[in-house]
Amino acid sequence: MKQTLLFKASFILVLFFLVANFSIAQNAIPQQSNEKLGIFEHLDTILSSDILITESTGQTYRLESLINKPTIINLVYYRCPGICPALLSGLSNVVKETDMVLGKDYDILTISFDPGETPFLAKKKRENYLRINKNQDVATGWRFFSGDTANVQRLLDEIGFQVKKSDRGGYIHAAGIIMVSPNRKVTRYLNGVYYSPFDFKLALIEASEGRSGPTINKVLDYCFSYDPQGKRYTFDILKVSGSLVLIMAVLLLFFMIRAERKRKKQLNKSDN
Amino acid sequence: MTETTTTIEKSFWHEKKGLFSWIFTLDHKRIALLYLYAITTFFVVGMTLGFLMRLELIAPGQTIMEATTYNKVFTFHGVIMIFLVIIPSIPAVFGNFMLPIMLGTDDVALPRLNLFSWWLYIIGATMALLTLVYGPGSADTGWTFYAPYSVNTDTNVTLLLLAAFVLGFSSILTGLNFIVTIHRLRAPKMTWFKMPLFAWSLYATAWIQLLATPIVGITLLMVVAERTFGIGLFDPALGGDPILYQHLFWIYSHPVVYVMILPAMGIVSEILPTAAQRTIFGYKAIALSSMAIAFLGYFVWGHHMFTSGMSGEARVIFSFVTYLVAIPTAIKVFNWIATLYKGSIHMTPNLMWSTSFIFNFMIGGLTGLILGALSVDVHVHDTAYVVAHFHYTMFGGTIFVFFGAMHYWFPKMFGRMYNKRLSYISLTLTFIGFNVTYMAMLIVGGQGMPRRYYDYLPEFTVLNQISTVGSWVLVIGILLMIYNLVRSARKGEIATANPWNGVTLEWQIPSPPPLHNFVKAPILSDKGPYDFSILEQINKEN
Repeated sequence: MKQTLLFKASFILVLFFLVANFSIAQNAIPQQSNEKLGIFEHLDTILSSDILITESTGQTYRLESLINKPTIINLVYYRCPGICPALLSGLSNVVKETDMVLGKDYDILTISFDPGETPFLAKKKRENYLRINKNQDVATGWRFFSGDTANVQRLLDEIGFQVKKSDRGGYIHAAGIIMVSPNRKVTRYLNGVYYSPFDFKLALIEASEGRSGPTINKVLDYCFSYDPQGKRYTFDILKVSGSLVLIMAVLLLFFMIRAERKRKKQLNKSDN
Repeated sequence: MTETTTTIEKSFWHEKKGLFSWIFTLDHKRIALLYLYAITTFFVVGMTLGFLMRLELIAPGQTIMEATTYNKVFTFHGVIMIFLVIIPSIPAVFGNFMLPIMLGTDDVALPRLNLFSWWLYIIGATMALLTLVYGPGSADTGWTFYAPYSVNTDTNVTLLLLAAFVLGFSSILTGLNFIVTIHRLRAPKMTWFKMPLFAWSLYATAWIQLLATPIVGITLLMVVAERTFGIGLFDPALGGDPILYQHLFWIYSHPVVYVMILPAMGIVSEILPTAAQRTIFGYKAIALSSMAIAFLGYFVWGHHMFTSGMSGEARVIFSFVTYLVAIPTAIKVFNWIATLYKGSIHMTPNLMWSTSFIFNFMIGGLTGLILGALSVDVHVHDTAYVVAHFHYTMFGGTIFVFFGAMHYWFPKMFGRMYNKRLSYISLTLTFIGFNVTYMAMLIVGGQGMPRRYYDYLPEFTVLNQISTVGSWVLVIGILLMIYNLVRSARKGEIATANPWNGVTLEWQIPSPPPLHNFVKAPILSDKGPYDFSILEQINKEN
């Protein structure tokens, strides 16, 4: 009887512990790290009309003069060795696959977020994609830009696209494309470097209607150089806990088998 | 075969009365029923959410809910169905109820731990439900909780993660309990290869629960730590890697699909010999293939991440190992069919549920091979095709067998028989509804409709409408089945001790069993668990 009471009391204790545990965890406000990095969605934001960017031809435009139909903005830097080429080829593939017509139904603006890059670099990229997408009207529909620090930073902030300069040169950043309606309203983010024609078309239709939708694929792909130093701690936790679980499992099996052998012996003895 | 046996010793139903005699019981049969009631309740909730999602998809554009609501609904549908229904379903209900009886003992090895697991389950479930009403709104991450979104979103992910963590412990402890029970409490002459196959499948399952669940526990805690303290484990700005989350998550979550399906396969291996009145074909092959699946299951997690960024070599290896899992699975299917071949088959509802399972699972398994093929997977990744495949294996597989097991062991558990005509009708409706719903989803997914959208392009309308209509038939079938079973538990005909003429140990004791299961020593054949030459003797003694 005493034991059952103890048993019930311990249940109530555990219950209390758990309740306390999650309420503490709930009250703690998630700390935002000082350095933000990634894509932070600003759906329904209207992009400023007076952001100035320079095309690969060398001519500078106000953003409002560039956007007059559903438009895809993608942010890369042209010297990127990592994810940007993958993003651009993913974009170029979906342009080929979709039945929406580039230059007629929608435009693409590729903008470098590295203020150090020049229209010359943009021009080289553009020539590349002119060659690859021969069947599409890349010449008028897909344009390549660069910009100065102030303008680029304004654009990044308004879109919620946060990048970080890496110690080893280059940038750490995420990959994704941003759909903008004809009146410069941000309507959808498509993350990653592969876009299904379905996602793409639906997002363009939404953009043309000025209707925004939440992101479906919330996994971000990042471009960053591998840093084993910073990861060691994580890996150590995993190694230690993994080994512990395995050792305990092996011990359990060992003792189970030993006990079984003993029991068998005893049974045999009593049979005899 | 008389009804008097039930009255000689009080059944476990009548041993004690009152709420406390249930929620603090140490009897494995009562704990199993506690699980059954809780799991059925959550199943109905999950089913309702699924039903609402299909209703939203009846036409393009917004029909009955907003996009963000839809995201929350599919998240909660997934969390409920995976963590609260499918993972515990068969082990916690039928494992708890039948395993000790099938091994010839009076309870599991650690009855208090067993009760504690149920309490953990209830606490975890309560925490999960609290996310709906408490804090900044229920989670919208999908049941996979992928970082970095699960770290950044301001919905109530932390509490839901802790709930999944607690539920994980419930699962680990149940697994541990079964391992100890199978090693220590088998009837004296029951050697490993004389154990019923359900026990074998539970043994394989238990090892997965024990070894894999701690990983997801740690992973979920890492996300909680990340959300609360901003450590940066999955944040590239602080030296972390979001892909690490996916690796850790799938190292658990792939093996755990075998936690979901292996016990179901074990039950089919029980039902088929009884229905065909002959021994199982390939006993050892079925027993060992369970172990093989459990082992191989640890090395295939990468096939969930073919498009997430992995080296080409790794992807090819994961794709290859994924194909290997098909071998032990096919061994089972062939052996089941060989068991039925030339058997003296008795039509029973439980047999029909089992054969429907084999049909559904063949589709689920073969579409799984298509998804395991690296080149094809890249195309159908994240489409409704994947969703349909998963439902074919988990719903058409595990849940169909769960229902089949209900129809097989119902007379044993409740001491009453259900209305067989109604059960055939409900099975037919469920089977047709299920296949219409998910076959349409499979096709529309192959055509390119992505998963997790509340909206779609006009060209997908017809198939989505077919799927939605199918879901209505499906829900009617399931509700009819639940009605039949609930009603029969009180008002059905009194069942005999061995209504299906089975020979495993549970058919040698009264229906429902007395508190300590065995009144006299059970009959064990030297030829293994499915030796039907002892059937006459069993029925005589009953």
